[in-house]
Amino acid sequence: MSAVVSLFRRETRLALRVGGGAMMGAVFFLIVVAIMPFAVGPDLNLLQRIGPAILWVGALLATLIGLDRLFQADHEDGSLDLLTMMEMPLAVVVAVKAVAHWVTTGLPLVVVAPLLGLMLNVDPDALLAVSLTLLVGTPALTFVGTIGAALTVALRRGGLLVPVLVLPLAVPILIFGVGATNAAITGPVPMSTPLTVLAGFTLLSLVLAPVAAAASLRLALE
Amino acid sequence: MTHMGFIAAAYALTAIVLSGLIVWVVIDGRIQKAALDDLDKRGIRRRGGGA
Amino acid sequence: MIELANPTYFMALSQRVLPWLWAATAVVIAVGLFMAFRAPADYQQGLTVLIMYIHVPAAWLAMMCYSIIAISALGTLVWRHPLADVSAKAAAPIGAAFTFLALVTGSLWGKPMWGTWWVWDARLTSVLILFLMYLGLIALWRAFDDPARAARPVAILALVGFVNIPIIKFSVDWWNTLHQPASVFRLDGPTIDASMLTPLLVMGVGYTLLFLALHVAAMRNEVMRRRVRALRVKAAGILAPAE
Repeated sequence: MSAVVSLFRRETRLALRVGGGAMMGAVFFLIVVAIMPFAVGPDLNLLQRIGPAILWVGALLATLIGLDRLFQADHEDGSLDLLTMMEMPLAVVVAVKAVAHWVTTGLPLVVVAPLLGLMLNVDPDALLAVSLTLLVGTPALTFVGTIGAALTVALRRGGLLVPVLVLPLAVPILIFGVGATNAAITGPVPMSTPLTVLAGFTLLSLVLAPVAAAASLRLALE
Repeated sequence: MTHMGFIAAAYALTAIVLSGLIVWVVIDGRIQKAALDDLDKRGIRRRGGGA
Repeated sequence: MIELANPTYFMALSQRVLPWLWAATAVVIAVGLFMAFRAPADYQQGLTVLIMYIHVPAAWLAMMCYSIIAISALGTLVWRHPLADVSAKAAAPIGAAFTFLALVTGSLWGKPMWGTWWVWDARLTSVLILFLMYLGLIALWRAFDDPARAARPVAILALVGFVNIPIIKFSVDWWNTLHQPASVFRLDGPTIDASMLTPLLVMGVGYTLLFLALHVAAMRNEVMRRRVRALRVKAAGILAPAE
C-alpha cells in the first residue's frame, strides 16, 4: 500500500513543481471559454444555452492536451523503464499515475468551471450541475486518455495523434456529461439517469483503461 | 438537383470509390511484383521459405 | 488457419482463389443492380430508394470490416498469428472507404428526403464515429517508422475501439432520443417488402465478395511489400532485424 502512496506523492509533487504543467490545463480551459464568445457572439441567452456544452468541450480539450505529460517525461529520463520493473503490476502503476494526473489536471478544471460558467451566464443551478457532472466525468476522460498516451509514448511525431485516437472513445463521456447537465436544467429526464451512466463510464475506464495502457507501454518499451 | 441527380451522384461516387480501391490494389500489386522481380534479377533472394 | 500461418502457403492459395473471387463479385453485383433497378419504387420515397441499395450494404461492410480487424487484432495479440497484422493493415483502408461511402450516400439520400445534407441521427452519427476510428488506426500505423513494430499497438487500439462500439451506439441512441427531430425518419420502411429486401441482400453479398477480393489482394500486396523491404535491407548489407 505504501508503494501506491509514494508513487502517488511522487506524481503529484512532480506535477505541481515548476515545469510540471499541472495548472496549465486550467489556464487552457479559461482560454477556450474566453474565446468562445468571440466566435458565437456575446448574446447572453445563446451563451447560457450552450454554456454547459462549452464547459464540457473545454474540459475535454484541456484534458487531451495535458495527456502527454503523463508518460513522456518519464519515458525520456528512463523512469518509465524503472516503473515497469516494480513489484506493483504495471496496470496499477498506470492507474495511480492516472489518478494523480486527474487530481493535478482534471480537478482544477472542476474547481474553475463554476467561475467560467458565470462568464457564460450559466445560472446557479446549472453551475452546480455542470460541476457535478465534470467531477464525475473528467476522471473518465483522463483514464480513457491514458490509452492514447501509452500507445504514442515512444513515437517521435505524436502531435495531434493522441486527440485523434482518444476523441472517438471520449464521445460517449461527452454525450452523457452534457446530457446530465441539461437534464438537471431542463429535464425531462431526471439527472440521475445520465449521471449514473457517466459514473459507470468512470468506473469502467478506471478498471479497463490501465490494463490496455500497461500493455501498450510494454510494447513501446520493447 | 432533381432526385435523379442525387441518385446519379450516389451511384457515380460509389463507382468511383470502389473502382479506385480496385485500381489501387492492382497497381500496388504490380509495383511490389516489379520490385521483387528486380531484386531477384540482382541476385538478392531469401534463403528458404517463410518470412 | 495453421497452414495459412505460412505466408508462402497463403500466397500460393490466395493466387488461386483470387480470380474466382473477382468473378463472383462481378456476377453478384451485376445481378444485384439488375434486381435493384427492377424493384418497385418505394411508396414514400420514390426512386430515391435506389440509393438504399448502395448505402445499406456499404454500412454493413463498414461494420463487418471493423469486426474483421478486431478478430485480426486478437490473432496478433493472443495467438501471435504471423499474418494477423497483415490482415488488419490491409483491411483498414478498405473499411475506411466503405465507411466513407456509407456516409456520403447517406448524405445524398438524406438531402432529397429530409432537406439537409447531414442529419445527426443515431445511425449516421455512429457511422461517422466509426470513420474516425478507422482514420485513427491508419494514423497510428503511419506514425511508426517500422511497420512491423506497429502491429501490436494498433491491435490494442483496434480492440479498445471494438469494445467501444456498443458503448458509442448506446450513447448516440440515447443522445438522439433527447434531441428528437420533429418527425422520426427511418431510412427503410417499418418492414421492407420482399421485392426490395432480396435485391438488398444480393447487393450485401456482392459487397461482401468485393471486400473479400480486395482484402485478399491487399494482403498479398502487403506480404510482398514486407519481403521487398526485408530484401532491400539485406541488400544494403545490414543484417535484417529478427522479426
